[in-house]
Amino acid sequence: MNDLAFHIGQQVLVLLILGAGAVAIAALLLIPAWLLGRIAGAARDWPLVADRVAGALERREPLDEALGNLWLMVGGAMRARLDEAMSLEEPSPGRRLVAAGVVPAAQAAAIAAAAPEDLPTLLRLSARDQGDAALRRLRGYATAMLLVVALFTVWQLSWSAPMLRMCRYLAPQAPGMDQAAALIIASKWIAIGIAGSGAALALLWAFGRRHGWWEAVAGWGRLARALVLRRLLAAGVREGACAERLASLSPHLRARLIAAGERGDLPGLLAAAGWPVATPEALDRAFAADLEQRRRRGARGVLLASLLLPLCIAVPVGLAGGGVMLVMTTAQAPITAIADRAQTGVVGTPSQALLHWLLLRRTLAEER
Amino acid sequence: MLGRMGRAECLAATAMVVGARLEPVDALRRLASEDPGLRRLERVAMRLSSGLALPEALAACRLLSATEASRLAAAGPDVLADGLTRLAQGHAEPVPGELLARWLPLWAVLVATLPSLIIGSAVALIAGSLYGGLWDVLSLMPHHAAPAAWWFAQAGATLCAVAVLAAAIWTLRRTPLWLATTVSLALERAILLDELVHAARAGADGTVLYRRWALLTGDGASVRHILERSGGDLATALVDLGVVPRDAARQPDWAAACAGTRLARRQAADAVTPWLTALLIVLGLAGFLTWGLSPFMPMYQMIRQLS
Repeated sequence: MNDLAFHIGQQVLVLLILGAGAVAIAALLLIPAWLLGRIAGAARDWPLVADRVAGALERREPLDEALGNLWLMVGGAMRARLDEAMSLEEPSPGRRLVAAGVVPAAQAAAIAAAAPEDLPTLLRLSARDQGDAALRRLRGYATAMLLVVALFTVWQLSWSAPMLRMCRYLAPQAPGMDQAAALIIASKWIAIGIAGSGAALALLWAFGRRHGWWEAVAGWGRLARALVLRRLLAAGVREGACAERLASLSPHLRARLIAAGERGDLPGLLAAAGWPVATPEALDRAFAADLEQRRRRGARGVLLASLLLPLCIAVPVGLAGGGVMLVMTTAQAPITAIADRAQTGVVGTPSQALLHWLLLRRTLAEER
Repeated sequence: MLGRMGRAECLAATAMVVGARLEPVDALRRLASEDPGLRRLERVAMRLSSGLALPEALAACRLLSATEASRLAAAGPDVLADGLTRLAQGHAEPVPGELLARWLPLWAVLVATLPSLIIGSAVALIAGSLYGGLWDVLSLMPHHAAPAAWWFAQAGATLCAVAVLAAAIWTLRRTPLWLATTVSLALERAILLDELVHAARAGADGTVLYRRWALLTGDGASVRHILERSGGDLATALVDLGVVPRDAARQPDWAAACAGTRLARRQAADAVTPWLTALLIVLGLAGFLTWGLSPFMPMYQMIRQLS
């Protein structure tokens, strides 16, 4: 009876420690999230700021008021930049945001050079991903999967070394132990590889986000040129003026754009802007088709990632599980043989086998 | 089912009105006119003005059941506000991430123990006694005496731990300085701001909420100063801070503010969900693979046997 009471008390204590420990581990887990946020810096809040500033510009509200209203919604890095933006005398909202460092580097030149009537459109383009629920879901899913692998790796490392020592010691009496050890080792290194790759990718993602690389890779500049061109062509602006305006947004295309503009060659201008079509109507259609294609590509990517990501867990956990089961089925006989007496403990799991092995080894050492 | 939609919001708004000791007919009409989601409060106000008591009016509009209305019939304003708030919370659409964060210790214990307990109970049912019988049949271990009481002891210990943790969290959450969740300050800030905006909208006293939220904003002194500057008027302070946007007529847009803070709360909860889910998966996996009903169990057994 005393044993039972002791056992229950001990179990309750252990479980309470586990509950409190979970909060501590969760707090520790948020440290990498905080670190990635620090690396991404002000760019983390850029989509929100871009969206709100675009709305304020469309409603013709003062920029200072819009920036002030954002202050409590953004992180420390963006707050400092908003303070700086509010203190600047620059009359152009785009140049003011760029000068204060609010805009990521990859989009800064285009935002600074944008005409006032184009600025809300370009800002909305920067905030485009903010409402992308599928992308957010995928990011959360990938984070969860990689964290599971990382935590599993840490947990596995805590028991794999003594377990492998036991496997090596018992291998002469139980041939299955070699295979069990091989599975556990393979699982360990695969898990370390996946967790390490995940950490490296997360760091790269944060660095890229800081500088706006991912928007640039996703063709932000090309979409921005299409949006500006559509407005200019709808307003009946001539090719030369269009080329000048586009060249200020994308200086690396200046030579081709200006040459097409000087020739009055609309298809050439559109091709130089990254849209090889002949007429404004075709540009509208190509733009709509491009957005639809991006949406489909995104959905396919989310689906593919959703199918592949579970493998990151399944492979190491499956291998470890296989190794563990093999230990469970082969450790019993050699341990009993070494002890040369009836087994009294419960050796139903690897941890219990390990525990029994450690205790047995101690007893044997004392007997010798 | 459709008739019950928006019930939580209506009850929460009514609770705020009652708690703030506002004249209910006018206050409910004002809320109904400001927010389409609270339109049903107009009918409540109509019934109140025809002489019905508030619980009866709410029941007549299908916002309370007859039992709930009779239970609250004789309640004073504080008890009524508290009761309505509880009912609203009970029927509000739960945000999964928030539930995970609020009750994390409880989930941790459950995921680490339940799989083993369920399998243990299945083994007991199949083999007649826990663990031993089935393992004997499978020749995976020699005979040992594992009485059924052992399984009940494990289950009892889990139940005790869950009860203690639940009681502790429930009690701590009712203390003024306790945070709703201890795992993410961003989520805590979003929860407080959402509650604050709802309180300010209903004209309730949200000073304590405001102070707690100010602490978490990263610039508590300035935020508190703005409340002092507005003469302690919560609504004005929130408008001055830009939390409540202005509409085209430069009037505070409370519906937009509520929608915005609710969305921010949901996004903050969504942000912590993957981290907490991963933690719980690994705890569950560790609890299941160690089979000892807790990942720390072998360590404790070892300490006990070595000591």
